[in-house]
Amino acid sequence: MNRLVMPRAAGFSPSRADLYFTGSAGIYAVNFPVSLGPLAEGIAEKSGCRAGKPETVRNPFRPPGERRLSVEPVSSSRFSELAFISFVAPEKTKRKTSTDWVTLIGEIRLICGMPVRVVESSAPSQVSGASSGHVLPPACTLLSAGQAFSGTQNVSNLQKDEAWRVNVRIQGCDLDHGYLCGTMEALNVPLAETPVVTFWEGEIVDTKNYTFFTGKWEATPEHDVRHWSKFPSFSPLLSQVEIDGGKSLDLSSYPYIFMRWKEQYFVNVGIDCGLTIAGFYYVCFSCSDGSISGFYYDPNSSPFQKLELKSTNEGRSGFSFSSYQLQ
Amino acid sequence: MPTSASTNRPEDLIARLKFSEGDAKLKALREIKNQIIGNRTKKLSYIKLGAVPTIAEVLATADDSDASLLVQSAAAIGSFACGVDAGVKAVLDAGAFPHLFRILSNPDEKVVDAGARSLRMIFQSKLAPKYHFLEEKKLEFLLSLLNNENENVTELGASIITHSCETSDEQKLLCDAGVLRRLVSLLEGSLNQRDASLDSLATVLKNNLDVISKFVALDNGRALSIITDFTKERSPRTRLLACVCLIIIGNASPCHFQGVGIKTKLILILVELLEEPGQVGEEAPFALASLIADKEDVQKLAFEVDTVDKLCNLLHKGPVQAKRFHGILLALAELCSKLESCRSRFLSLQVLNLVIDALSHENAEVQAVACLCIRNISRSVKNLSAGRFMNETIITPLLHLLHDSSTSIQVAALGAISNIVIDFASRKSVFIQCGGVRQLIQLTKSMDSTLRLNAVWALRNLMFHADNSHKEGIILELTPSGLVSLIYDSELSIQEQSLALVRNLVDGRISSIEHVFAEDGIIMNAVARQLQSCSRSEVCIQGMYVLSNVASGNELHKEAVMNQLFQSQAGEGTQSFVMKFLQDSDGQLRTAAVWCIVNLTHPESPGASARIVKLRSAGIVSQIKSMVNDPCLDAKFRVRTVLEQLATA
Repeated sequence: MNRLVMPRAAGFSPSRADLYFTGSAGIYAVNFPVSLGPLAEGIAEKSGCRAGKPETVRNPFRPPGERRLSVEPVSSSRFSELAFISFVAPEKTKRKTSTDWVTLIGEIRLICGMPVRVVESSAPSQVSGASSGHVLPPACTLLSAGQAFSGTQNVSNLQKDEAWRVNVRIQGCDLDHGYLCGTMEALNVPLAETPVVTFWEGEIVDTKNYTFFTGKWEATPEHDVRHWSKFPSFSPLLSQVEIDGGKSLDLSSYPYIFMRWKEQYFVNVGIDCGLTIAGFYYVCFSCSDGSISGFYYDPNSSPFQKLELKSTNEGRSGFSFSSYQLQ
Repeated sequence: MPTSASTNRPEDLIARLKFSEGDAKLKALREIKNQIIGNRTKKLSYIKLGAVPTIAEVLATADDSDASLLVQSAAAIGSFACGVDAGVKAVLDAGAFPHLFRILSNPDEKVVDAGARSLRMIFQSKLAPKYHFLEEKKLEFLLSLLNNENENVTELGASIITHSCETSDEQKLLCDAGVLRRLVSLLEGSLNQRDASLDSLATVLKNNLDVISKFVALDNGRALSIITDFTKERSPRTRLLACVCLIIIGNASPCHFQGVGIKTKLILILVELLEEPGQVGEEAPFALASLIADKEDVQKLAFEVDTVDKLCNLLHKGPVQAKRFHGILLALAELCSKLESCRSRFLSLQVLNLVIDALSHENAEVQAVACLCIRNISRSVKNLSAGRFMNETIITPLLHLLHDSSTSIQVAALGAISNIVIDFASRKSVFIQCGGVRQLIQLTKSMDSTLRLNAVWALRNLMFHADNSHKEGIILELTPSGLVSLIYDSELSIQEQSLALVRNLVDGRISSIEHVFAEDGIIMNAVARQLQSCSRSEVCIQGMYVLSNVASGNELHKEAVMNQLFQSQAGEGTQSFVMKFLQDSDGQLRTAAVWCIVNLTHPESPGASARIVKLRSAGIVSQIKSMVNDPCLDAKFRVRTVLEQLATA
């Protein structure tokens, strides 16, 4: 059973809602009787695809019955095929409207073609959340709370060749929201007497919560593509990202996790320590060996400062994991 | 007995009521009634003087045609019961209840009104006896009340439903008897009928999907439209009741609730109602809490219309009455349950101190909801990391609540403590210095499994990345045998948390692994024993990580793990539990098992080759090889790590 919520036509403007589903080209039987709410006779249906020409089928909606619709989904990414059927309520509704919405409950069935997997419909103005089949990036024990990484950040520029030793520890990881956080400790920083510790928060590019386009921190899509392209593991994804930011990519089986890390505050020194945390890192984590590489982006600092970290086992011969659980 | 006619002292009035007849009796009765209306003190003093049985007697014995006497006695009884629990009790004890029902069939409309009104007052109290709908005669009678032409009588019918309808069977029964339709028609009656009906509908619909579907289908959804319109009514009470109904419908049946518009409207209406005085303002935050509970998308909407600010401003205005405080804190707790944005906003508005103060409030429910609030706010890892909650002002009152006589308060406090002790810097000492460890360990010995579970949970989180000295202190207090009995607890969830505690114990510096070998290795043995017999994956996962963590230590540690893995195999032909786990359907369990093998075959250890031989002969190496394309990415990569290590051995 599929549910479709349609905003009621207001005044004389038509309203429309789309029912999205994944599947392939074929003939579908569409059976959507009106289930509640007074709705004027006659709903026009158009089947459609993102880039194609809509095909309008005008049929009265009562009595309810099955209509055959030829649907041609367009493949907008290599990873999923998406199609939609559009339901349009006619321009004039005679009865006084008092609810904002009407729910249609019905069924879409493939008659011939390849098997379809139907997903929950999304009402036009629904708040973002889990709905249209996007999957989370893989959970990886090496990128979980408590895990430590160490390596270097290369801060070389024309004048000098310099690298700081860096230790990173993950403190929180919330895959549902594409969020993680932790601390970063920079050692042998020339300007500082002690190691400098910062707290950072990360956005995981999971195409659900965050895409490859940063959209803030003075990073344009061009900057984004330029930085992501410095990771070899990004090249298979480049073409799709250039089209739509990678929104339709399914990264759930991809062996790399892309993130942005932004330092939020200094933990143990004052803001006048001579260091900056104005920029952010483009980060790539390898699920296979737990290594991390990153590029620092700050329009006011030397470009492409590289961060290279490996998962540490802190003196053990093997890997050890603690865990906490929030109540 | 001669008395001055102008004396209106209570005792005199009661006496006159008892002993005089006719007009004098009526006058005394009327006088009493006028004195007590709206006057709680007077009501209580008359009750003490035994007025109620006397008046009940009047009601019982008056003739059916004596309208004035019936009206006045019924009205007086109703007034005693109005808003005063002692009054309700007195009225019921005096046996007035059946007589009030009796007069509902009186030919005089005024008598019926008085009886109905009084019964309604009684049914507003929890002390009123339950009305048994399931008895056929009673149901018939109720329906006759609802179908009556008299407004007060129909309202009485509705309020009986509101009071007594509790189970889903009762809801179904009422629905099948056509009550919904009648209540819907009452929606279009007078203001009072409308409100009574809304209240009633909420009760009949609550949590019952079947009844809700039938309701929504009535007249093609007309009822739903009517109620939605009521959210714009002038009367605050009507608006609130309409919101409550819609929320009940939406919570059980989300498809009737889709679309940002309706949810945002409800939030805004309820936030506005928060400012109303009296019962409406008290109940509004509870309705808001129920609207947003467990629904991240609605919480987001609420955040976007500044609900956090509005709730916090109410707290800033000054001390709040207990029930209202409870409601506001509950709404804040729900708002902050999932969204970091809400938690940040809350913390920036400087109300945390008020919530901490509420931990010491005289009202137990306020204390409990304050704990809930702190628990949800402390889900913010960012603030845990900044040590925002690890100070005495929060910890001391929470630890104090661990001594409370009510288990639910103890559990609520443990919930907040569990999160706070995660603290990442070495500030855990604050908690330990406050004596927290001892109290937690004490509670792990409780007879109540919920207390044990939450106490172990808190200890597990406390143990996460704790200093060595803290670990020592905790184990010293808990003792290895104490920990072992938790590992063997009858509750699976407690087993899981205990094993996770051990996992955290042996992480960190290599020396901490020694703890599981104390007292002849009882902890280690217990872990292995549980792994052999347990079938719940969450428990096995934690147990495997204990072994895996130990196996990341030195040679002796690795050998000890090998012994545990292959102990049961000696001569029995049964496979090691590791083999079983490598084949489990749960990807996380397979991953944990593979990690153990990764650590056992770690190339830098001298004994690695001998261990590999043993693993190979136990069939584990070929099992690992077969997992080279495991569907779980994590497991797959760890398998490849093992294979790389085998190749270099």
